[in-house]
Amino acid sequence: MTPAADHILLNAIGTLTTSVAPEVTTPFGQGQLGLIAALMYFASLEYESAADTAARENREMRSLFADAARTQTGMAEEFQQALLDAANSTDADLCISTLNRANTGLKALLIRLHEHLEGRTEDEARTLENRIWRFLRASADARALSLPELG
Amino acid sequence: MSAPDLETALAAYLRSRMEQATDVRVTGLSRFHGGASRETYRFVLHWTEAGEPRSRALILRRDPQASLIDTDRRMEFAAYRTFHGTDVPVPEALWLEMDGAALGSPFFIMSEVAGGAAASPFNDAPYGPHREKVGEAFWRILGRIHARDPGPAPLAEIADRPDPAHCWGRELNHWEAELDRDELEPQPIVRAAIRRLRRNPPPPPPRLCIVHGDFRTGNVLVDDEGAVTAVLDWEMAHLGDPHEDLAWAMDPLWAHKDPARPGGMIEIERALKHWEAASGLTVNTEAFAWWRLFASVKGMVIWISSAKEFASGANTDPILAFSARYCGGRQNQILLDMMGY
Repeated sequence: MTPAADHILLNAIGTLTTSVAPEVTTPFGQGQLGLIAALMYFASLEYESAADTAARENREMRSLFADAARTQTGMAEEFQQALLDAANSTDADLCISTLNRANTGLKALLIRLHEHLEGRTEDEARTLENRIWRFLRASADARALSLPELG
Repeated sequence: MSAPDLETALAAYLRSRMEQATDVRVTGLSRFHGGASRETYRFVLHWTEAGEPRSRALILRRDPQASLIDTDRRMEFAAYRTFHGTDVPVPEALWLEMDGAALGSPFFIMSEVAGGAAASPFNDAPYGPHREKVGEAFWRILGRIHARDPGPAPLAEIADRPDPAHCWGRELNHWEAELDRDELEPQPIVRAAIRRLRRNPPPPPPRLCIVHGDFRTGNVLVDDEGAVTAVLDWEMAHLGDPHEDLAWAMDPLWAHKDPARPGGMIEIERALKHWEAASGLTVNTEAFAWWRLFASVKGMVIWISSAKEFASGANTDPILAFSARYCGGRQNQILLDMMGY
């Protein structure tokens, strides 16, 4: 659909800064306007990438859980079952709310798995823990928002 | 309460507190931008005393309906009372009201410090040619805060006094409890950092110090000549380990382009030397490393709390959404950097 949401947001930022900002006379109002423009910029970035980021993360976490359920021993039956159920789960659709809901549930389980693996010395445990750290790094980098360069 | 209503209510309050004054008026009430934990306004108070007209520039700090962090306004007021008139420049604290009857929510009033502005962490070179001068002053002032004997200080009358061996646990427990209360979604990175901090507690400080709790360039006013004119925003002040303040001020979030120069000032090693000279204390490298990771945990919890405030509708100031999304995203990266990932 055109214009796309990110284009609309970026255009609105331009209008705010060139047409509205000069009408705002107080430092407080100008400061708030600047923040709102920054938030709209962030929304324009996330329009493009948010669904892909959540879907990728969900896929990787499910893969992690499948490997953990297969290789890890000595965990409570309930925990092992939770890992298997999560590994076999799917995203019902690609709506961002659906993807985020799944992402939230999967991350709660990821925290449990990460804590379980900490301090373990077996090769499979070390491999999984390193994989979790790489996942967290990729997630943080994908979700970090950059400020626009102001020329 | 609209701006005109607030100005009227403020004048009425001041009239009730200034028994020797007549013709009490308030003019020029205007709000500062930034800082969602308190609303901050400047105004000019006019009055007549002993037949003489007088005026004074003042600052009103008022709680919003929902605050970014749970802080004790008495603590901030007491911190100003502790350091006013010393070699740590702070405004003069004048009136404190703990109930909302006069202005709709608790507030305090202090003097306005003439000259000076706070730096933005998004400015690569906030102090220009005065970087060295400001850097030395900034870290020495922090050292002077920590050099102060907390025993007789007004702040110490209301602050908890933990055993030095428990400083780390008290702070970590507090911020983990805030995280438990406020997270809207699971936070695997900060949870991993908290587990690491608990597994490796730091050595205790040699003694308790007054800890500012939010000492950074954004809370320090600097004038056009590079002189530090005031240290503000003491709402998270407490008694604890001085490494906490050092680490917080040096968090990479506050110097977004060059973390080797915290706050866009001088290198970390020189900063610590200035602090040691002024405080009379010595940096413990093991403790400092622990508190550096803690500082990023604390920051992350603050951004998570701001997300909850905004999402709940309790406080829809856009600064909260900005803090949650931009600062939260960056802080997760910093946490991973600090943990070696």
